[in-house]
Amino acid sequence: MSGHKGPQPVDGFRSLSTSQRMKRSLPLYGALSPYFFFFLVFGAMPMIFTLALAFTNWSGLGDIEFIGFENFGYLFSDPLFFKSLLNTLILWFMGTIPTLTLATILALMLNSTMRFSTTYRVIYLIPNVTSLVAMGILFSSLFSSQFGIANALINLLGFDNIAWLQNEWGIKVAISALTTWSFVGYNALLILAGLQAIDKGQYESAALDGANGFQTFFRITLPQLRPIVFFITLLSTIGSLQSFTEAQVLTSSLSSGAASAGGVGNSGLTMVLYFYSVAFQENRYGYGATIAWGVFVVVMFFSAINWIVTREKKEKKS
Amino acid sequence: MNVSRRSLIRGGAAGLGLLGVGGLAACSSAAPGTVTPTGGTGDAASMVLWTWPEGFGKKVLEAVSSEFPKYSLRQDVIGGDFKQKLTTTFTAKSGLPDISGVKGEDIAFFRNQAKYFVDLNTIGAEDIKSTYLDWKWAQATTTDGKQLGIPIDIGPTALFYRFDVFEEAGLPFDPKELAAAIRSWDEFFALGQELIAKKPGTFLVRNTGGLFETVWKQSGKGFINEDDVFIGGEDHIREAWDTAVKGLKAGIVSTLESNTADAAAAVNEGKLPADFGASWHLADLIVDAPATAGKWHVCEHPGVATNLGGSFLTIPEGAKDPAASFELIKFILDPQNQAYEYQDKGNFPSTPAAFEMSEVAGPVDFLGGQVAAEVFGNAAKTVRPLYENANENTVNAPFYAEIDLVEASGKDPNKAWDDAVKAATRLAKQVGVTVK
Repeated sequence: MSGHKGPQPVDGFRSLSTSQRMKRSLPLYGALSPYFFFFLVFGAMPMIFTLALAFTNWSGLGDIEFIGFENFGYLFSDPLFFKSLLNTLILWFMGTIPTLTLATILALMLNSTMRFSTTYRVIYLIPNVTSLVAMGILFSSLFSSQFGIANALINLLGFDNIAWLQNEWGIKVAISALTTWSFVGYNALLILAGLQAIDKGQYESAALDGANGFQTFFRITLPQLRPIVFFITLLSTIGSLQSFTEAQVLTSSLSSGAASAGGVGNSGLTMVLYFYSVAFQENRYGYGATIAWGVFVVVMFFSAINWIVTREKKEKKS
Repeated sequence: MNVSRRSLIRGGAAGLGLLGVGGLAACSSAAPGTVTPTGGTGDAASMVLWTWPEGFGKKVLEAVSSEFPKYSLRQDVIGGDFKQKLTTTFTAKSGLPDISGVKGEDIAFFRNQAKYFVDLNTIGAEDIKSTYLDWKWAQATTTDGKQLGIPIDIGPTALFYRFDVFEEAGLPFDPKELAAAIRSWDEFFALGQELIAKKPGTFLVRNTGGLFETVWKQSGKGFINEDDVFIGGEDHIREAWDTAVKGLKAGIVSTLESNTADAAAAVNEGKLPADFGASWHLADLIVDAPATAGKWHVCEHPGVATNLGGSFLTIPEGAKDPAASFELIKFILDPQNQAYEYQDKGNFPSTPAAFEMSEVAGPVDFLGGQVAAEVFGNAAKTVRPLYENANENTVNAPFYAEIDLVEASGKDPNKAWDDAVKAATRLAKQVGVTVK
């Protein structure tokens, strides 16, 4: 094996001159460039600008005043920011748990459906592709205090009307109901894909061994769905941490500034809604940018947790 | 990378969301088509006017083209968040219109950015100043005396009420009699209690926040004064707070949020037979409760009238021919054209001369044939000038948030007041307003 340093280039790429290499690589870079161009213009540049803005005081027009770390100091002592963080986490929990549960049930039902299964799949995907704003307006009617369907159901159960959107927990229920509604079908399809990847033979053996439905589900189905459930949790975590539209549409009618945004007791004020209100309603772009970076750090933190948890699972397997 | 792409998509969705919401909220009476080119010969100088979806009516645009054959005016309707788009265009320094609208709620913000506008006093605004209401004119005047805009309309407030419901309840229902019976807020609350006693479930006031807003504006002072000092914790706001809480405690507040299905339904069913509003609120009522046409009247609400809304026409700095722009503005906003606009969409004129014109002084069918302009015209004259700081909404938001809590979850009003002052003081300091 003497004389060989590393593997030989298979296509002889290394033996080419720089200009020849350039010539061959150019189409590849060309094919990749649109993404990087758009990322640069609409992703990286705004991010860098936002980072710079976080150290300033700017109304969106006119002079930008550099104020150092003042905004960050304020962020750490801002009760409204921590309230919005807490709201976001609560809404994430209230949205993700029912979404996962319902999606699993729906997927199991779809999996055992013989007829019209494509029709069902299309129907379940519709909420996910419908405009959130339109559904937000619809949901504000469903949860209206006098005439909403939510209250009609409650009346059937023998309870009095609840003013959902004027109640701190009612707002959260309405927002997470909207989140659940829009994501349950999509997630059901992901889980369905996971279900169909499970080897049918295992169910047959379980049936031969006399396992009942519950045992089959908890011993065979659920463990093998774990990767897909982690994937959905990761997606919904990132999505929920940045949720905005649901809360904005359901609580916008009375807000004049950030401190009154998100409905009664700011209970629907998510982090992104807070940053939006500060920057675009109150023209405080500097502090708005600081909050946006706060959101970024929180999202990074939770993504890291997710990543660590899923990585450990893989290591245990091997 | 994922994060930024996602936030980009979210941002886009948010933008679309705004468009959607804006489109729905944009005053109901609305709106001629998108772009309204007016005639004009080939060599006419083309002029661009930016406005929001209500725009200027056909009649005014036609009047412009017959009055000024030398200009070809194009009205561009800018949807969504008008202020953001104007701000962005200022920053981009290109594509600015010859004339731009500025909404009443945004004028305080733009007053701090006077360099982006032509000072209209340098091209003859002083000469037409006397035609317009002083307090409205002053909203677009900077502290160093520059005039940024000419008022398009005003929003003096009055009380809309269902005279049939009031009559059934044995309450005064003639506009003059009712107005005389409710000069003070206490009298008004007592009337509300009488109403709910006769007709259970029928409320005189929509929500506590709205009541609070009307009362603090009547004081003639806001939350930040002309010297940039925070005054939100002072007596004039506290008194308004106490008045609003008193109304709530009197049990006459429906606690319905504005612009919701519930509020519209309550108005339709006569469960909310009264509402404060500016003249443009008539358009909302027409849309929300078409079945109640002809059963409404309007009269002075307790205390002096306040102002809600009313926008301006401005000339962005860098417009190609400010003199020509101003010539057009002068004509578009003369009393006759303002009278046409009132007829078209209920925008109340900012020129007292228009109050007498037939288009304005005629009976309004929806209001049972009442001449509403009499009431709004008188209201316009009692409005006190109110200084609005660009940070006003930032600083007053905690008060609205806290009064909502009093209304929705029974929070102790004194505790809520203390929390509001504390939060507002904090915000005032952060935005650089002096706190004493």
